[in-house]
Amino acid sequence: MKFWAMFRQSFVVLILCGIGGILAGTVLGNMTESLRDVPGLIVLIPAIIGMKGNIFTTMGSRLGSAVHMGLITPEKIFNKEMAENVKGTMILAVLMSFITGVFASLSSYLLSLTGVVPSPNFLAIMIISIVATFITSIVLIAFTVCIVYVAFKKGLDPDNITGPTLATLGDFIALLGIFAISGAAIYVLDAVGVGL
Amino acid sequence: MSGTFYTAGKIVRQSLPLLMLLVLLEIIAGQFLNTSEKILGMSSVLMLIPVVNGVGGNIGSILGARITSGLHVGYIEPKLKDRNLRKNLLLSLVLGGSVFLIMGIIIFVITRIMHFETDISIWRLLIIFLASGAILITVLCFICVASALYTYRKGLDPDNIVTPIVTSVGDFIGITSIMVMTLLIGI
Repeated sequence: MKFWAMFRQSFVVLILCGIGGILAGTVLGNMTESLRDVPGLIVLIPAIIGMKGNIFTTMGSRLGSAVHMGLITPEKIFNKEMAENVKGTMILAVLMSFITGVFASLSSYLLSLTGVVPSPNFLAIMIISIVATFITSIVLIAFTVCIVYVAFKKGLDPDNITGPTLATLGDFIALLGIFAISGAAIYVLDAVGVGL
Repeated sequence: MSGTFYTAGKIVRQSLPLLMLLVLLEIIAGQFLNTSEKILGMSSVLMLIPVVNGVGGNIGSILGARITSGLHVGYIEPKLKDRNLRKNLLLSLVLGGSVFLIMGIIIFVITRIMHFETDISIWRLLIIFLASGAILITVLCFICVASALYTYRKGLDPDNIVTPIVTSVGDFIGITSIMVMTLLIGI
């Protein structure tokens, strides 16, 4: 393929993804208060966003392959193959949210002993990691399935659509989830008198 | 057994080990940010993180996908001197440079039109953005080529490995360069 043809094809998608990044960035930029109230919360953010990318883009590409292999057809999009994919993705997301919470608070705790980082709030970090991941995963699964479905109905190759769409809106959805859940967690923990 | 091609158990077993390894990298990147209370309070610097990481990760994934497909189809040979490999590498560098420049202009226009208060001057913010973008794209493209060639020579399928590695390593490098650039010129 010609150099500039390849350039043009990727350029537009990347600019869209960058604009999605600005949207996500605006959410993160508004989180300074939560970041101050929950020491160690920042550690969750790259981890949750990164894992979201890894878990959902692989789900998207599996569903794309399933379409190509004829395992999922327009008449039977919600069949057993789809159910196994949704189940597997959900199990992965829940396991990883737990592991991420443990890694984040444990590493913060160990580092806080040397004084380079503030000592973390275990409870808040575990709650935020698990609840935020659970809720955003449900939204992102629905979102990914919808993209595959719509691509399918329009006669487009889902392989070309899921990756860029998730890249553009996935971080925004994930950060919005963390933003909302951390705000709610701080409010609830404060109300029940667990000191932050 | 459910008798389906995909099973939830298989999906979990195949993905979990790599995901656990990669989340550690993300945690280390997060801990870097955690050490600087100043940066955690700077909205406009935090705002750059998803943009730099998102664009960088995608340029790396596109390059990774192109190289791995090329290796599978045979139009790229698994050595550094290959002409098509170099063409793809050059493409990603040019693409990365142009996308970061345009995004810089978009960020500038948005902050001016919406009258956003940036905590540091917009010029410093743009220098941080462009410099971290340049560092990220350069390092990431070479890591991408190296990991694609390495996994291919080892007889592994690079499709399963290169993209997750490139995006996670990319997040790590992106965050570290934003931090270093902010500490150098931002504060």
